[in-house]
Amino acid sequence: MLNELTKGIFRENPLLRLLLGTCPSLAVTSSLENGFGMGAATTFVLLCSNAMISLLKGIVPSKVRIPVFIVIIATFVTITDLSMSAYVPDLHKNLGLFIPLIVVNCIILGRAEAFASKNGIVPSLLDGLGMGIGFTMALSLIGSIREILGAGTLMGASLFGPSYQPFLMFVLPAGAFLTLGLTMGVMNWMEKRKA
Amino acid sequence: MKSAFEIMKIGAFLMAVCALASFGLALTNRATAPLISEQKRIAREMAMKEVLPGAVEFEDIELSDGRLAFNGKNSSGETIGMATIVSPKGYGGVIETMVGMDVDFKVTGIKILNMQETPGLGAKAGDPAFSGQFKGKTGEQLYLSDKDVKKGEIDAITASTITSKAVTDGVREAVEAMKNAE
Repeated sequence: MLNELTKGIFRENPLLRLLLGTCPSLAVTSSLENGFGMGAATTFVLLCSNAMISLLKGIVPSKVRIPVFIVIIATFVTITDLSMSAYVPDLHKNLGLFIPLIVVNCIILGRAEAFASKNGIVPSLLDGLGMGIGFTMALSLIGSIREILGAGTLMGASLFGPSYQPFLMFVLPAGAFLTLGLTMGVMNWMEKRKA
Repeated sequence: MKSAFEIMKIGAFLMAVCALASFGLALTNRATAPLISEQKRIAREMAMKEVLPGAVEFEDIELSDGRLAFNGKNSSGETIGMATIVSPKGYGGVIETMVGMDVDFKVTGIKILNMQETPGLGAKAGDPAFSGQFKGKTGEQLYLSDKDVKKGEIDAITASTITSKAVTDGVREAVEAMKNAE
């Protein structure tokens, strides 16, 4: 049972191992705060949709399961979008369009189709939580690397003093691709060494 | 006959799921809508206070060209200036900027509300080093000091002339619009 929780964190990390959800990962990870916020929002949606889809697994006609899943996911995404706009407006503004786009994040539909629609509620919740934590950790890591190198700050606090000249490229799109690629490379190298 | 029934059943199921989803969303919207509009109001008022220091009360006005603007009043109820929002086109999209000015149309402050300028380059338009320069300037001074044909007193951000010019033109547009509206 515990395996369902831990597999998403390292072994089947959705971003760094399964390569799902790369679009928002590249777009919003210009800082640790944005990366973590995006991860937390995705985790919430993943937990709710996994739970709901697992509960409905016996009664959804298989012909229309994808539309049903999408409606459920879109509902939770909109709830998240509205709540973030009401309670954390600054973060909501930074993440912008990428919150509504969680609907088409393949991690969510992927877990619904591959796991929650075939398993009970407890394993589905653990699966969603594990995948969410794994995704959040990956986004936070990439966000931290890009913020430290590209802006010389972490959580907005200056790290190296005013004389530091940041690598601007790392907060720009090219830096996102480089950081994601290098992080995945390190993950693969660690996996190889273990084997 | 069986397949028609089957289709009806699937349709009814989809409808039920969508109805439940809409119900959930309606509840969420009801709970968050007042909070969201309150947050927007607070954000707008904070921006207005920033561009019009000293003003405590704001009154919406509509200019003859349909532009929305605000009159700012101090604690004794006198109008000390006004503010309006302009959206000049920058390098990465429109730069929504609030511009405050006193009754003599001297800029009292500007605040960038929304922009998609390049981080580290054009996005520096929000830094006090650039946006602070506008304070105290009149319409004729609102040109770039070296890039505009008509020399003004605003120093452009290094390597971000398009952004600098957009903001400067926007602020000037705001001042002109308020002048013409009088």
